[in-house]
Amino acid sequence: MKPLLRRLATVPLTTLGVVTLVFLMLRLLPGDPASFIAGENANAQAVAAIREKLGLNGPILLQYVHYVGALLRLDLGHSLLTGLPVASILKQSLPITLTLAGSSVVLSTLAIPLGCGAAWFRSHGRTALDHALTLFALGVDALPAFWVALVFVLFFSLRLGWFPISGGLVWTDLPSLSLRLAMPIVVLALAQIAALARVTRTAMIEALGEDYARTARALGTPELSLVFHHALRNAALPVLTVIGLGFGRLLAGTVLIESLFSLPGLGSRLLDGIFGRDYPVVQGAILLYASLFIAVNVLTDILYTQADPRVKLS
Amino acid sequence: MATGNGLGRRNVTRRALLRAAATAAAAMPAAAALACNSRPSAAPGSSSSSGPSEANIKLADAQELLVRIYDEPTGFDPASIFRIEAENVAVNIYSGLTTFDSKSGEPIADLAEHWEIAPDAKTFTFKLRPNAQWQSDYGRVTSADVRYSYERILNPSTRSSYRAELNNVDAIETPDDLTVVIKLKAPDVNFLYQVGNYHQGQIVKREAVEKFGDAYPRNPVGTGPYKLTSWTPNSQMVLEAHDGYFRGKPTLRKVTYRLIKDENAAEVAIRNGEVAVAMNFALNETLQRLAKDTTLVLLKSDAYANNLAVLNLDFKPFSDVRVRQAMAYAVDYASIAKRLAPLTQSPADNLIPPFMPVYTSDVPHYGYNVDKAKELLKAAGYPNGFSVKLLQGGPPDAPTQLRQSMYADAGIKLDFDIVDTAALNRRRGTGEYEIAGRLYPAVNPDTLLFGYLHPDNIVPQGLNGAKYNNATLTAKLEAARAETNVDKRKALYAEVEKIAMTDLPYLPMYTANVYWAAYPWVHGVTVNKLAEAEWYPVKIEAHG
Amino acid sequence: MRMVDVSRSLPTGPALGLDQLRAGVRRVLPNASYTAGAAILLPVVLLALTAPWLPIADPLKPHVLLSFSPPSFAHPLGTDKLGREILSRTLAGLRISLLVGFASAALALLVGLVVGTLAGYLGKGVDRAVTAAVDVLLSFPALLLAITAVAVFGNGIVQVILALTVAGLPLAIRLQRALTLGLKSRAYIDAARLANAPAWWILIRHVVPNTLPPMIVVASLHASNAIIAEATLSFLGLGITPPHPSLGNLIAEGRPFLQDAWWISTMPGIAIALVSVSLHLFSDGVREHLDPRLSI
Repeated sequence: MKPLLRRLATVPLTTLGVVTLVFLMLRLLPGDPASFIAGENANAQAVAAIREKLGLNGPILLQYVHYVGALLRLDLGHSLLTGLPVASILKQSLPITLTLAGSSVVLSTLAIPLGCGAAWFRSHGRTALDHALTLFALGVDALPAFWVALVFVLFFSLRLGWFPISGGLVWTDLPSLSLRLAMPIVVLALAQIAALARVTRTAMIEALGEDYARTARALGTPELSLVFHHALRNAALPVLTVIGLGFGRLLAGTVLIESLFSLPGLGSRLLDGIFGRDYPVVQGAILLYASLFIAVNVLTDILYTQADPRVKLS
Repeated sequence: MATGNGLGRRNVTRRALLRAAATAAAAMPAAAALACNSRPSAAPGSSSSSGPSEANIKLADAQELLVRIYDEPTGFDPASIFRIEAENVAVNIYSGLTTFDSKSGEPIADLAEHWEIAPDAKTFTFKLRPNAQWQSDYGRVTSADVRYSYERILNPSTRSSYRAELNNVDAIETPDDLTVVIKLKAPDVNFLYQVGNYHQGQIVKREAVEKFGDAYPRNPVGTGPYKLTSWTPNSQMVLEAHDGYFRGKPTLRKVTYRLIKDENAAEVAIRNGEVAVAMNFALNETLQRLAKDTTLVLLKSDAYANNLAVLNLDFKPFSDVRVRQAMAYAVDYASIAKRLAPLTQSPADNLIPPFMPVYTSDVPHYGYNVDKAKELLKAAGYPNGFSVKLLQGGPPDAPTQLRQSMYADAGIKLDFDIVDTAALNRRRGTGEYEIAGRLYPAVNPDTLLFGYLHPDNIVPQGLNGAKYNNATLTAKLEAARAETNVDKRKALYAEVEKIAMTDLPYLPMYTANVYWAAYPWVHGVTVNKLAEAEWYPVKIEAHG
Repeated sequence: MRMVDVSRSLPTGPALGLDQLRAGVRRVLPNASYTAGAAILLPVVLLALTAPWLPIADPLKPHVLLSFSPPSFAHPLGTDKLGREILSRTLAGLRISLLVGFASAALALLVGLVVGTLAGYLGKGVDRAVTAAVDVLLSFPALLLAITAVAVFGNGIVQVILALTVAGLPLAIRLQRALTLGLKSRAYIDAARLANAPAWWILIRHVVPNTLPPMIVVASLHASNAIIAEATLSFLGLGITPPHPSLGNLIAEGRPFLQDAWWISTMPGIAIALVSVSLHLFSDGVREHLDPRLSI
């Protein structure tokens, strides 16, 4: 229990570190929100006036203290560009990102049968098939996600017209929602499949080579039952761990994918915020991303230690 | 597209007619009242309607329009509004004392029925329409509203980006409910442009501004034909007809703007019929495909603004006029436009676009002549050329890369100093560059000529990014603004343009054309010289 | 993934020479993954490095008349809007990507070795500080770290290398630290300490060499990720910018013309995939060779 508590205790510190780092980095970026908001053709007077209105003129330390204080009151501030509260902007965009991330994790579990199949082939001497599957997973992993997204757009939207790449999301209209989200979910899932397939395969190979498996085989238990009842259960833990570890990569992937498919999720807000120097929005979005990531990490760590007492949390 | 060429021909005829009319008007005595033009109705032969006569079309039952908008506006407060997509929505929500003719950009009547300009061009008396009503039941429009709106812009605590546009205003008086008298500090015949339906000229209601406070930009209240009834951020906005509009109940009842940023996606959307009108296609390849589609019509705003190369005269090579002229001779802008951007770019020969009445083509022209460029460089002391950095917002497009290659042939090594929008705005606004580019849409020639050429506007104060200061030119410019005689004024402006094109602190690279796409059963959509379209004249024909 | 022993397929001959050959081959080509990876990577790297001297078109010179030529014998991968050969531009872009990928991987390896070893060996305050910093950095989506770093430091190949090194450092440090911790308790380290050997000697002589193999595996993976990250950055308009080609900005340049000239965006992506696959195979091979059960 104690190591768990110690692990949890690092969370607020890490979060503060993230917030501070973002705060600093944003202010290092050349050009400030006022230059963006005032537009292309504003003069120095207008820009200065806007800068003052946005409260960007004070000493940075003061702005930082002010911001952290507000955070502790759960006040994420307002967008410098639109004036809307950051909390509501995030609330509106989070469901889209979570849907994308969650659905692609679910879809990527297709890798599990892939890995199982590869391990099974190998254990039966059909190494060629094993290599083929492994190579396939590897090949898919090597493709940059944004490129795959463009190729998908080219084929399935522009050439064939099967999937739309514009339009808002109507949550109640499931068919149109699925059409709109299908491509980005597949692209994100592809990025996860290789790692998952490989780990499943390795874990299954190990499990199939264990003593109990050999014994069961000697006793004549049917192969299939072996695989699914024992080996898979033992492989479950590393698989879950890899999913958890891959979550960070998945979150990073959503940023660009949302932008490419014009989905108004957290990632799009974040990118727009960076280019528009909308400090509060970027800070809020990264805080949210980091929190999600940290939460998943802690969960993964807990899972890992629960099942394997040999591994300690420190 | 069959109607494409036909429209082009009709446009030229109409332009010639307008010029003839303008010349006739100019023959009248100069003093006292200027003609108050009533708004021209969306005439057949404008680049929108494809039917023979609008009066005969059978109206669809549902007069509702779906429009693609290409970026998300940030707000509709005239004091701070910026970017064309926001201005497009705002022009339908608000009115100014005047508005702008869609072809020539000249001021015509809006909230002010007519006006009088004193002979000294320092006092403007506007008579408001008696029947103009505010949206959302804020009552009748009175002169107090006008006075409030303009004093608000001038008030430093509003922090308006357009305060400088009304700098010349000395006092605003409201002798009665329907009369506004504006007194200027210095004579300005072009003042009518400043009170138009654009930015600072748009009239707002005090009670609404005070009620919404900081949230006003998202809750605009105007006197125009449409009011903003809903706004889902990053998704869509809805305008609905304001039946109390002073020109009469709008035929088009509802306009829904759908945000589609990606141009490929927008093309798919309009082809599928998901939207009936799509604003602003920028890529020539997309436009060429759309032009071939006979089910669609391309709407064009021809030559609405010039893209100028801004040469910072503080940068040593550019302090010599021979080098600046060499920069003009070294690049074949016409050929670049023709080969890489035939639809969106046309050759330019002046700082101001050709639709402006004071435009003249009687200025020095610089064709493509690499040898001449090298000769001038050698004479100026750069026999081996020189290096220069172009301030560039985002990765350079194909025409810009070709430009770089052509400069290299003349010995000028152009490198790209690539920054994103926020940094670009800041550096361009403060003059931190060697060479930059600027495209400024405007209808008032003074906006461009004073902006670019007057020493008072040298960055960071204003648009004069070249840091140009020529006393002769400045004197002529100021005289032109005060000259009430049309012919004399035109002559003065012509001289200004000639000097500017000889000194060449700015190189005209090309004139831009704006394209929208629409279905032919949407009648009355005209894109004006500010790249805006008004929905009031629009009627939807019954279609299958 | 133990593959078929290469030596078995060789005909038997004079015993001595062949055995030595077999041993030699097994040392250089321990398994098929490694071989396959190297087999793809080496020619690609060679092509990219020698491209400036090959008889192909200049990647920077425009030939507007050849604009948008589809792939053909004359233009193997087609041309872009300015008529420049996609083949030349892809190879030039590959050169930059390889440089960025390997440089940032090597730098991250180096710094990771130093910082991770120190954190693991010295423990206490140093370790806690390093771990806290690493945790903070790891909580960022790595892409954003890189985007911000490049936006702050400006565009250019050096800035990109630095940005990607920073993005890859946390994992390298964390791994090296974990490995060092594991080794710290080994018997021979204790023995060396008892013998009053100086810390730096222990680190360089015993700790680092043992951590090197797994770190190299991670470094090769990092190189692959860095190449894709660089492409992502230049796709977004940061880092390497036109007219200089990079695999990412080539894909971005082709994006508006997907319908008319699909080859501009698709070809560079295939190049990235090839390099990435080969690096993955290579790193897999190294890992297999060291210890098939090594979990990273």
